[in-house]
Amino acid sequence: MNGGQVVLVVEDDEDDLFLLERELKKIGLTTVRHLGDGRQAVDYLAGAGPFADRTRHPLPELLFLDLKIPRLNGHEVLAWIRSRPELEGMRVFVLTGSDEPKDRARVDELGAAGYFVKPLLAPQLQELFG
Amino acid sequence: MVSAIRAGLQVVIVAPLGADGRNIAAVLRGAGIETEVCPDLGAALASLKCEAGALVLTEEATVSPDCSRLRDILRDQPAWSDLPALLIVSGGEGATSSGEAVRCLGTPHNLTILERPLRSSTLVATVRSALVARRRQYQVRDLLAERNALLGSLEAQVADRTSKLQQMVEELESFSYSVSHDLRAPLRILDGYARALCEDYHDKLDPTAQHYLAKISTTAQRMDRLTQDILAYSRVSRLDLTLQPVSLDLIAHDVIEQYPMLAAAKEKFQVEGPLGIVAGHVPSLMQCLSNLLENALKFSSAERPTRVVIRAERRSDRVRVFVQDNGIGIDSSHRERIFGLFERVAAKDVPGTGIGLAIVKKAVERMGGIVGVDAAIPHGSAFWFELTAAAAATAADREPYQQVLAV
Repeated sequence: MNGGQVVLVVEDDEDDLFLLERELKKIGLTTVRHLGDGRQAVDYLAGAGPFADRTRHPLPELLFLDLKIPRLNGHEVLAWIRSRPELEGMRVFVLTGSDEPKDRARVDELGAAGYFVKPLLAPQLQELFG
Repeated sequence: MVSAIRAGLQVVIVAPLGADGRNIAAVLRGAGIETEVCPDLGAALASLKCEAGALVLTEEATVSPDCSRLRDILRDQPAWSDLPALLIVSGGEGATSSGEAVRCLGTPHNLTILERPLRSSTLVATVRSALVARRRQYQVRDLLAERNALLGSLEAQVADRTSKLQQMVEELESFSYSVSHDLRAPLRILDGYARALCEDYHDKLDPTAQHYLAKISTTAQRMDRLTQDILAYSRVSRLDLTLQPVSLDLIAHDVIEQYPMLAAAKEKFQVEGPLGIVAGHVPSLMQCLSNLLENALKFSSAERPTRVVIRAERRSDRVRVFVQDNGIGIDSSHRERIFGLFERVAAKDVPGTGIGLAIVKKAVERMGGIVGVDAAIPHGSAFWFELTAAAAATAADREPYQQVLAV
């Protein structure tokens, strides 16, 4: 049902990525792109460098963003996204390993469609997109 | 600096007329007093800047262009200093020049006027008492210097300790951030793969294998719960809790609505409001109440339907909030130790980390309150915490958890 939607996952842990993709598949989100650090995420969203070709690297409708990622962290990526009016329509879901009040406060400040402590499982995803 | 008081302070003498200077010096030296004779006031000023004991001058010496500089020196003395000045003037009713001489000196506090003819014994006695006073002034100066040095080193020590403490707090914070992310990650992955195995290979696994996998999952989850509870405990121990008037009724309502485990058992709770308003910290209060309510559900009795009553009692300037259940109760011998860290007095099959009540105790104490449990009730137990009652906030500074009593 959601197969057409492009999902971008920014996550540096391969196991977390594998387990999230598995849950996404369960609710029919199968078009998943993956990036391992914040710098690449920004380049991808800006269509810069190797990501210039939008047919091969389409802008996602949904973004799952880990907070603790290399180069640029999740907060920095989120702040950059908020500075780009053309990305306003993209829904950003922040994923974190642990619910730290400081992290949550910063995300609330920047604004995100959701803030989740891993693991994000199919029933929760179904509630979001079902 | 400390040893600057010499055995004999020097008396600076300015008496430009004839042999006056030499004579005064001879009398004083004869009495064992150190002297320095200066030809004029200008020369004397330089000596005054060192550790002078007293200034002796005749009225002729004040007829000098350096008078204003002397006035400045006397006026601008440090707080501890009041240099004794002895002015020798012509005696008798007809003398008019002494007034001018005094004016020349300005208005020094410590001025003694001696009239000619002057007896040696009067001069010596006057100078001696001036030197005694001056010596005390130098003692005060040295004590002040010692005190300032001590204060300075104390301040430096306090600053040093504060910065070390600050550094420790920061290290602890980054340690606990690291624990919360990095220590929990492997548990999540472990649980994730065990779950995946169970789901994806369900048909190929016999019930025993599925049971083992479920064990792996629940164990990983238990360890994760433990990590989270330890973090919550350390957070409540070190966070700066700013207290504000909080409505306990709103807290109780929100806790029951927002915590999934409590919301699912909503009908078992009975809030006997109004509970009142206390000086508290909203997240800590929510943590305390949710822990107590979850415990009340967890330690229910199979013999009767679970009922949990939340009520409050005003005790002079405090409010005591009770969470009373009709569960399995607590042996009164466990009443003290139940609030300790990692203490578990429950049967083995009730899940728990033994941290929940320790968090409640720590949080309540950080808010200036006390906790306890009344185990003497017939069925179940009544846990309570007591906090300082607060007045209702005014409408102007209304916050989400402040109840406004305006009608």
